[in-house]
Amino acid sequence: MLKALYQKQFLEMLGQNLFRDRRTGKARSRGGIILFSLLYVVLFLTFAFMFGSIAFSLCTPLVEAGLDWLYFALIALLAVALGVFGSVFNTYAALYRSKDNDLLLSMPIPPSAILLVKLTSIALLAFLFVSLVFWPAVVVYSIVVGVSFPALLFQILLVIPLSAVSTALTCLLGWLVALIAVRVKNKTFWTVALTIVFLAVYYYIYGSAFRILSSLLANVDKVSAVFRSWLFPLYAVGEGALGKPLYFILAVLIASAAFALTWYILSRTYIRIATDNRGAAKTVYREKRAKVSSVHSALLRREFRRFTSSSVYMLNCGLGILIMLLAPIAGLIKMGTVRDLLGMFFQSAETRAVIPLVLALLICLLATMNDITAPSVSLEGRSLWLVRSLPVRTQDVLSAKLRLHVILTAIPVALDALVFCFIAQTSVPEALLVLASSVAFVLFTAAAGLALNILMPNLNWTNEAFPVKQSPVVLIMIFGAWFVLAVIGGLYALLAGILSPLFYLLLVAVVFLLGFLLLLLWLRRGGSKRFEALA
Amino acid sequence: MLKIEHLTKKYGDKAAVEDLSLHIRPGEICGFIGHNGAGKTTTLKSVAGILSFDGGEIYVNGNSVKTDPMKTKRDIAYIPDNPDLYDYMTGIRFLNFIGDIFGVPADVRQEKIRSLGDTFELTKDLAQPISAYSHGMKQKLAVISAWLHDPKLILMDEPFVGLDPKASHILKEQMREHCDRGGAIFFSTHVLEVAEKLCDEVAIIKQGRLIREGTMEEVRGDESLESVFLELED
Ligand SMILES: Nc1ncnc2c1ncn2[C@@H]1O[C@H](COP(=O)(O)OP(=O)(O)OP(=O)(O)O)[C@@H](O)[C@H]1O
Ligand SMILES: [Mg+2]
Repeated sequence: MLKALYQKQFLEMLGQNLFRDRRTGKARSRGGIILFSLLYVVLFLTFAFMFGSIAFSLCTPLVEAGLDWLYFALIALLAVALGVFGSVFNTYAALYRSKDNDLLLSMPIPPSAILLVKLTSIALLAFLFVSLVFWPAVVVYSIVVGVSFPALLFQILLVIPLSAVSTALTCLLGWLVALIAVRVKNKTFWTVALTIVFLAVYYYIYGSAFRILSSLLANVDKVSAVFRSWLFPLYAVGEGALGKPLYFILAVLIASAAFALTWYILSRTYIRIATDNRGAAKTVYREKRAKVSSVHSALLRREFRRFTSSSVYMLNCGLGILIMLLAPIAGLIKMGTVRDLLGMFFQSAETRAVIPLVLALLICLLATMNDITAPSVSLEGRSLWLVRSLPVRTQDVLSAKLRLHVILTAIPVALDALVFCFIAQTSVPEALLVLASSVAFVLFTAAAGLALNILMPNLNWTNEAFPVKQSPVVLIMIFGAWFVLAVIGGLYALLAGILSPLFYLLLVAVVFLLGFLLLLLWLRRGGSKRFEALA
Repeated sequence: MLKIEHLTKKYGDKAAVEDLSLHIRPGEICGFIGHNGAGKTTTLKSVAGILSFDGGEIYVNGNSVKTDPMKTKRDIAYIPDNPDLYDYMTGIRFLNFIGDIFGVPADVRQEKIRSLGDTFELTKDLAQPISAYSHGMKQKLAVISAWLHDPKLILMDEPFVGLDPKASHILKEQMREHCDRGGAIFFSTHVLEVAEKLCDEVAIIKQGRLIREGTMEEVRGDESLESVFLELED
């Protein structure tokens, strides 16, 4: 039975876009699979390198202080934190809001088994994140200190208990969210609000990591005492990683206990939470005067409702809105400091001319946090037939998706452009150019995300989290956009002698605009045809 | 009203519907019956403009579904077998959305929502999200949304599944009224008694081909529809 459940879960997770074309059910071409695998490998390596360098900066001072165990304990902490961070957005939805829940619950399967399968799939994601942090750190340690057996074996294996702990923590968080969500009226709002608070706390701690670390090093004795008592599990991991079997076994036991306890707690309340609809408290209909609107605004409103009704969608694809609104406020508050810093970095008039380019790239980087179009076709899911049966042109349906992205992204982007330019004291034409290029970028990415989703749709999901979180389209959009921005920056470095930064920025704006127009043309023709064939 | 001429629809190289021709005149209710997988849903979806087809032509009110889909869709309401509506909207928002798409004026809309909502006893649930609706409630909402914009041709795929006896009864009355006003209805069903009582015309499809078509009397003769159907199936 468990085997069948796992098969279903894996089909859902992996089979989706990577190896099979959902529409035709045919296997993807070998070239496509290789391309996708390459994309994932490059991603993995980039992150591994990043975490490796963090590990390196921790390793030398700690090893010199004779605190090898603390090195592994801290890395473990970082790994678990990243694991939690990586899946906290969708645990609630993945655990409790699957469309196939009813079907599964109706079958003679104990809820604990359903839950175990879901926990494992979350654990796999956690494993990905944890190993991304922990294994590079193991390599770094081997380089700095040297390799010894069985320490290396233990270090490699520790990833498993750490993933278990990380899963337990995220699921407990998801469970807490669920407990609260069951009781409040506006579920979506509270899920988003809670997650944002969690994120803020997370980033605050992350932001002060180095301060914390230096104070750790200053008070080694006290810190060791704390780790040995309050943070004993981490201490056990640290000592276990150094090859002490007793501690290794202890770490494994503690992790298993945490996982089992989580499983137990969640199983007990699973049915109640998964089937509870109290949050959608019955509201009785009272007739109001109907507001009539045009087809265009009706379609746009439909997209807007889709967006605001889903916490997974908002958190994964719209968090940029919040950040782009907060960034200029923070900038204005710290205006003095920022201006001083700018003065320090860009001293000569020649280097100051580069500021608009830097600002534009920064704003575009923030804008990549919004990928509202990227899952928007997939999210039509099984109700795609509706827009097909209504007398609306496909291009209008698609344009509503585009407009939602552009409105929600371009307005904060424009605000950022103006405020950042004000803070950096650029000239008005420079500010306008920053504005134009970043808005052009938003237009381009909106259309690109939509086009990609039409080419790689996933309409048969059982849970919104799949098309939003585990879709290659979203991944490609985020990392592709970063890559493009890096290329723009790099290309300027090459052309610096030939082109003035302003002219270069103008060129960038024109290229994005042209790209947008080309994509728009495709969306109206080939793209519309493809979309229509999906139903 | 509806003219299907030599419709052929293939999935891959397997034909789901082959060379199907059928005419439905204003004022007629046509029942569409056939075994599971016969091609009923496929035909209805092709008429609704949801599926593109490989051969033949479909005309609604003289307009081609292929070349003039906007016009034909304005005249059609389609209710699928599984009413997967927008879970993220409330019932009333969904109806307003449909009203906006078809350009139904505010007062007409209001009046219709009130009367249809009361007839189907859905009014008090209209403020709830569709995700909290039962299957039958979704079906009722789909029916209300179909009647909301005064379509000429109503396509329904097994419309009585999931409806309680009272709602089925009301739906049958509404169907009759719609046709008395000059509209037409083309619907699939597996309940032959319903087809027998309700339909003026009946079309029987088997493995993608139309094997019998005509007025109820012609097709049935002296027998019951059931025995005719079972004979044809063998
Ligand atoms: N998306 C699809 N892809 C491939 N084949 C399909 C698809 N949809 C339907 N078919 C095939 O087309 C044929 C007709 O299916 P259709 O859904 O029209 O039957 P139906 O008459 O509505 O059956 P039922 O009474 O069970 O609803 C079947 O053989 C089915 O297997
Ligand atoms: Mg069918």
